[in-house]
Amino acid sequence: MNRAVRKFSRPVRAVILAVLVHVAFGLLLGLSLSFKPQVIKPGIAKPVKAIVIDRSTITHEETSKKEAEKKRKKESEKKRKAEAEKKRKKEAEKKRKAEAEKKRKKEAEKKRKAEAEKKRKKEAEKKRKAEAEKKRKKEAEKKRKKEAEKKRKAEAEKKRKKEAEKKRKAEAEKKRKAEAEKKREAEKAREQEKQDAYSALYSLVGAIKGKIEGNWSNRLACSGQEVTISVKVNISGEVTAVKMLGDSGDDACRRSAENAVYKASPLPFPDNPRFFKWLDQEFTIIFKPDI
Amino acid sequence: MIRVFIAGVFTLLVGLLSAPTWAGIIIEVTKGQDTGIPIAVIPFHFQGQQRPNENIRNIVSADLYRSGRFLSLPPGDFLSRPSDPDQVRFKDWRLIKAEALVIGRVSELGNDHYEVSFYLYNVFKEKLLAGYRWTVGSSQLRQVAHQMSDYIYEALTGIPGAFDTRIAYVTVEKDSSNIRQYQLMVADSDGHNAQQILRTNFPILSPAWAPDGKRLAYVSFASRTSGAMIWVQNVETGDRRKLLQEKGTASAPAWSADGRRLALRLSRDGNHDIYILDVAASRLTRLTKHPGIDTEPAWSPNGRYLVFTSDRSGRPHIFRISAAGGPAERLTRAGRENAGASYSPNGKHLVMVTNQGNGDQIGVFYTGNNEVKVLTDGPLDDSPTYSPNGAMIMYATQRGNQGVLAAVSADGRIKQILRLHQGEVREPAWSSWKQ
Repeated sequence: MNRAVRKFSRPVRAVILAVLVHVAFGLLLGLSLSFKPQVIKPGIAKPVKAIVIDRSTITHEETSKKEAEKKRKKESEKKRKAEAEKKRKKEAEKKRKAEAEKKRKKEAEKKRKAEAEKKRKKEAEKKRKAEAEKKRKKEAEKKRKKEAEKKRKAEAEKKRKKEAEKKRKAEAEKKRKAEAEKKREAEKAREQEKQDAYSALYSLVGAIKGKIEGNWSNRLACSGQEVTISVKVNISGEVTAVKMLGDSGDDACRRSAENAVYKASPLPFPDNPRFFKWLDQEFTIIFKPDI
Repeated sequence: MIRVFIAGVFTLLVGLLSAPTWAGIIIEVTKGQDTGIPIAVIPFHFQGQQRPNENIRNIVSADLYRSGRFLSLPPGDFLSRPSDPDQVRFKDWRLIKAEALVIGRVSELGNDHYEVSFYLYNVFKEKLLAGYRWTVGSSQLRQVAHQMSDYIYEALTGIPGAFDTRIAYVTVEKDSSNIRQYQLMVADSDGHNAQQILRTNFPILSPAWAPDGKRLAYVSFASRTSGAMIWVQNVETGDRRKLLQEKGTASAPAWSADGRRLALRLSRDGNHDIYILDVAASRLTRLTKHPGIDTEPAWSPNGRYLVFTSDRSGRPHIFRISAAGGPAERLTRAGRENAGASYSPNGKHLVMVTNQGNGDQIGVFYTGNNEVKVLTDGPLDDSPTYSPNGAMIMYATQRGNQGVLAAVSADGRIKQILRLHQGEVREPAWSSWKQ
């Protein structure tokens, strides 16, 4: 046995030996055995129920064939003894094997366990990773969903806003149109009111003139003269200011005209208060006696 | 008629674009009430023991009314009776539509003297227009009142008042022996304070005031058979001077505006013509020479013309002649007769006796358009004379069988009998302002 072989562990060596024995037996039996090399994977080989062959036995067989008979009796004895020994040994071997087996099993178990542990760990790791991945994916999904939701919401909001804006604009336009219409109506009404106001005032011009004439006590002062005065009235037609326009007429004539206006106060004036703002609250009155 | 200038209407029709540039309604006022200026003359507050006989408020009120330019409001309408500026509430006077307000006081100073003060206000302008004070004896209170009226009149009409002036006139009475008594009288312009300055049994004719307001020219006779005499008498001193002694008749002396000449009618040469007498030189110049009767001369205020009455075209009418002589121009054509013309102080009108078929009335002839406006009712109105401011005309008229003096405002609106006199009143002459 070379050193390399010796480096094998005993079980391995035993296996090798067992194989060799088998080969030898095969050759001996004349059997043409062709078999394919079996790859033995260390550590994963299936447990083999190898029959352990005692080297000494093998050697004995090889070397003491001639004496076989001779010794047969001896041998028988011996054999019996051997048998006993063998049995003992077998027992021992059995025990050893059992031990070995036990050990192997233990090893195997350990290995299995280790493997299992490893596998478990790996599985656990895998599971963890998977979990993590799952979680990550879930998170991502969640995030994605969230983003999507957010985006959707943003879109919705945008849409809503757009709609609202559109609606608002429509409302505003509607309102604007309504107001424009209202304004136009109001303008029309105002114009009507203004015209009514002036109509009302015009209808009173004769009365205004009459009242002033009725109060022009000193017309004679203006004989051959003409004076023009501006008269301001308030909403009740009361004279609030009198202003001479131009410088025609002598003092007495001017005074007579002023006094006529003051005394005629309040002048006939449209009594609709809404008319007031439209009306020019200033009259021009020319005093020009026909004498 | 109502003239509404339609600039505004135009704006109304086309100017719907913006606020109208409304030119305003223009109303032309042509008619009036012509009542005169409504004035409230408040009874004067008297302070003292013995109230004077003269009621200044009433004198002023009557003066103003008589002028035709005022409506003196009755004291019954007064809401308050202020006599002091502090007491004046213009609202009270606006309410009764008084345009002017006169308040005043008379305070007895003792010794028959009084202090008189007054204030004149423009009611609607709430402005003091005049305020004066006098200290006088009781006999001058009427004159104070007339001066007050003058201030008020001028302040409110712009025309100088002529209340503080005098009138001269002739009265005819029969005495107990049924003999006619002629008196030359001088009175205040309202007919009060009449004083006799000459009394005679023979007619007094044609008193005429010199421009100085003191001397009076007139015609009188010394006897039934004497010729006419032209006298000039100073009414204040009583001094008188005979300017002319005529064998025939004379009448109607008229002073030139400068007081240096008298125009008059003489019948020297068997004919009635107009002569001009140089007062200082007693020199006569014959102005007209016409077989008809030329009489009643009157000077134009600028001294360039005279008007006179002549029947040279048939019935009496008014003619005008240059003061330097020359042809006479007939002025009046309307009416049956026109006579006794004299110029208004502004020289634009003539006042005269006009007969339009309804007797003698006082009329104004407008030299500008030759129109005649009849002022009085007649039928025996005579001797019109302008007040020196031309605002009033005094004339002689008849009430019942009595001759009386009457005054009419120059526009003919206000007529008033000045004073009923015992007997007949003739030929009033209104003085110029005293100088």
